[in-house]
Amino acid sequence: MEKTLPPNIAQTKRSLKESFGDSADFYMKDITIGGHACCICTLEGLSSLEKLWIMMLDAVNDMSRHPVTAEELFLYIWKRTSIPVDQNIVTDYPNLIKFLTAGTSVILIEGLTRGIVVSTQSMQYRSVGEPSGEGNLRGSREGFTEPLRVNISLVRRLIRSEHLYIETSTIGVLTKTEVAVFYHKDTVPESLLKQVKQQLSKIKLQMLFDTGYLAPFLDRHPLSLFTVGGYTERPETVAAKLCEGKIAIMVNGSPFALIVPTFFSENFQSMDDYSQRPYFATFIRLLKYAAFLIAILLPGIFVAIANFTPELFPAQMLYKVAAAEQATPMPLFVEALFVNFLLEIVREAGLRLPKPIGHSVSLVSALIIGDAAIKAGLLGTPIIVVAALTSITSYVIPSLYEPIIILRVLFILAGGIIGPIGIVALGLFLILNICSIESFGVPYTAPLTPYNSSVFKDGLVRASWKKLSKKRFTIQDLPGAGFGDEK
Amino acid sequence: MRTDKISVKQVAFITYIAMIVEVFIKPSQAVSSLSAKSMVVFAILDAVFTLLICLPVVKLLDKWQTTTSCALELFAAAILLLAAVDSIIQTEGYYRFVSDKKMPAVLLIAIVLAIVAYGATQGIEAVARASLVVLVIFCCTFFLLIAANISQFKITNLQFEFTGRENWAKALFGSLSFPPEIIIFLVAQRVAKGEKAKAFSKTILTLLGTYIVLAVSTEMVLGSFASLQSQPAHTLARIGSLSVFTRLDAVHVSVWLLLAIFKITTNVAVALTLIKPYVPPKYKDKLIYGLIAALSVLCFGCYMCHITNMKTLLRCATVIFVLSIYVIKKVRANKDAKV
Repeated sequence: MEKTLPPNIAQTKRSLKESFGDSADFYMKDITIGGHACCICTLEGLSSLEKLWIMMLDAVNDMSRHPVTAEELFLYIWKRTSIPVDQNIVTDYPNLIKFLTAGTSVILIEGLTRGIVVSTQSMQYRSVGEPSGEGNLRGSREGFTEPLRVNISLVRRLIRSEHLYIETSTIGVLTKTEVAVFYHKDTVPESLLKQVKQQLSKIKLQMLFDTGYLAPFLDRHPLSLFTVGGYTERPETVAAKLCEGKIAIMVNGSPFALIVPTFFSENFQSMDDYSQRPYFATFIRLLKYAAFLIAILLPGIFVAIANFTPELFPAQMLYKVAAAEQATPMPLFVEALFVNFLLEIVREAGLRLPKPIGHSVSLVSALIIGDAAIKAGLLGTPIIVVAALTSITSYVIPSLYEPIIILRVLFILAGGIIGPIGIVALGLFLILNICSIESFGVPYTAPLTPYNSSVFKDGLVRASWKKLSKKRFTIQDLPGAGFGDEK
Repeated sequence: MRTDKISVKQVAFITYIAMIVEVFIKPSQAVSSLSAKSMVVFAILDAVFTLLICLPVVKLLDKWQTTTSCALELFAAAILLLAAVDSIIQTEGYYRFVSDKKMPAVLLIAIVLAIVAYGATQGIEAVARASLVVLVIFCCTFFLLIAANISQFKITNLQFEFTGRENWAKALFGSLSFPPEIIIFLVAQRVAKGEKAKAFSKTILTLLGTYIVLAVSTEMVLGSFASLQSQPAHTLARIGSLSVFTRLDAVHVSVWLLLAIFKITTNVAVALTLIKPYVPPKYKDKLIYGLIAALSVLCFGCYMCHITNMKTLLRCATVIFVLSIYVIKKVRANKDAKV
């Protein structure tokens, strides 16, 4: 197949026919404009035929004099009509396919080796609405949607500066998905930008439908439970991160932006923190840290104490735990594992099923597990209470849900098999694991450790806006920030 | 070792944690039958002695910013590894002391070595970063320990006469004098930025302060019984209660065990950085396995031979190491001056 467009339209049409075959949405029509043979190509559904014909009629009606040559016709449509032509001109076959699949229409003129791209996109997509996974009490209600161009406009609207750069490229051998890299020229560290672009350019994926596909290629710690990229559905979160010198990556077809680098403490922050009073925002942050610890440690500690050092329980509680354990067929440790697995299965079922059935699943499982299992003496009440409590606390930090579940199971195993020393050893392992991660040359635990005073401005504590506004904060201010020299 | 990612504060933290463990988890043959006053006086003498010997060395190392010599570095690594073995044996003994359900020593040593292997492979930067988290946890529990016992403080329990004279010599060389963990500071400070001598002094003085507070608190609560306790800090933790929380000892013991494993990890991580430059490149990644294997053999050897305390040997070795650096550096300085 020839790369450049031939002057003969028939040849181009043949090539297009070969490429698209009998695709139902491929639309091609021969027309004559000003006495010259032309052809309009587009993909229905992505592009509006109605819009296209209104434009064409408008152009032809206004034609006072017929262009003599094809070149004259090209210049006439290109410069003198009100048709919203794209700045780009198609000169080769791959680009012709690219523009058609992007929803634009292409006008080919007999005798010319280039085509005119007309912006007639009219795709059906989910409208901009409130993000489902990141609820906020105050602030914007807008969330990203699937088309990349809409998402770009949402961010651009928030940062009205010429220094907001958005660079696009395509990834995916089969899908040719458009990927956009957002950054603020003033704040982004050059070496970080270079590193991210380099990593993206090396990606060889067959298909790409979500930003989550890209995360492993940017992560240098594949075996760690924690990831150095954060996700958000909110344009204002992306805008705020860009102003801190971070980079956002978005993929066409996904409403999630991937933000790099991301730090551990950011999992405990939300946009609401900045709209609330500082003392309350600080309280909520500390509460989230406590919830994280409860979510991963409580069942493990409970099992370890019950199995190895039951004297640590208050007398009344000890009797209840002992009675419950006596009445059930399984040891406490197995019960804890079983209940946690069951909760995850219920969650997974509720998540994947259609909503009406999902509710039924939750109801049935709550009745069976919560009531029937206890009445039948299969499970003890204390372990159900502990499992329910930890399950609720894990929803407080949704971005850490995956590591929380795995760590919880590991702590139950450590506490049940080895006892308190198992909890201590695994606890130290966790601390060392988190502290060893570097997110593009910056310690993942910054600014908590290595310590930096910003931990008391916008880390553990959220200072007032008067204090925060005194100095602009960027990730280059973080301790241990050595961009580009990651291990 | 990355030179730009570790601060002298972090080096001070890891050194402090490595040294403070022994104040809370006493070696099985630790000095006892001394009053708090005697212990405090000896601790002060020890701290002054340590500072007098070590500060010139810290200053010398700060000026040179270079390694000492191959033999000395390997000697330091050997001391740290032996100290790690000693700590593992001590931790195992302590866990046996505090736990009702006995756990096989083999299992406990295996768990500790697994964590140590993981921590050491993550490098000194990871250990340095983790030190702040561990230190914050320790500080919280230390204040909790004091707060939980404050209602039982009786100033009349403090003995103002020097008792246990027969143990003075042991106490003088046994409380805070020259723990092998000083080497951690001397090695790690080479790649850290900041005022090193000041940080070292602060570390020793903070250690001394913690020691004094614990010794005085123990005696104020336990009176003359304090000197009879093999693990006074544990007794204090067991007695203390805060409101409805009566079994805070579980929290304290867990944190002290965490500190102990962290200390062993630090020792091995620093030893690893000392040995690595002298190992052929193709074996560098496998070095940690070799070290862990060696530690396992040594631990089980000590366990089988009932060697439970190598403190005196390690302290003497540390003094020799520190003095050797001083002598070598001085000789080199004189040579440089002549040239």
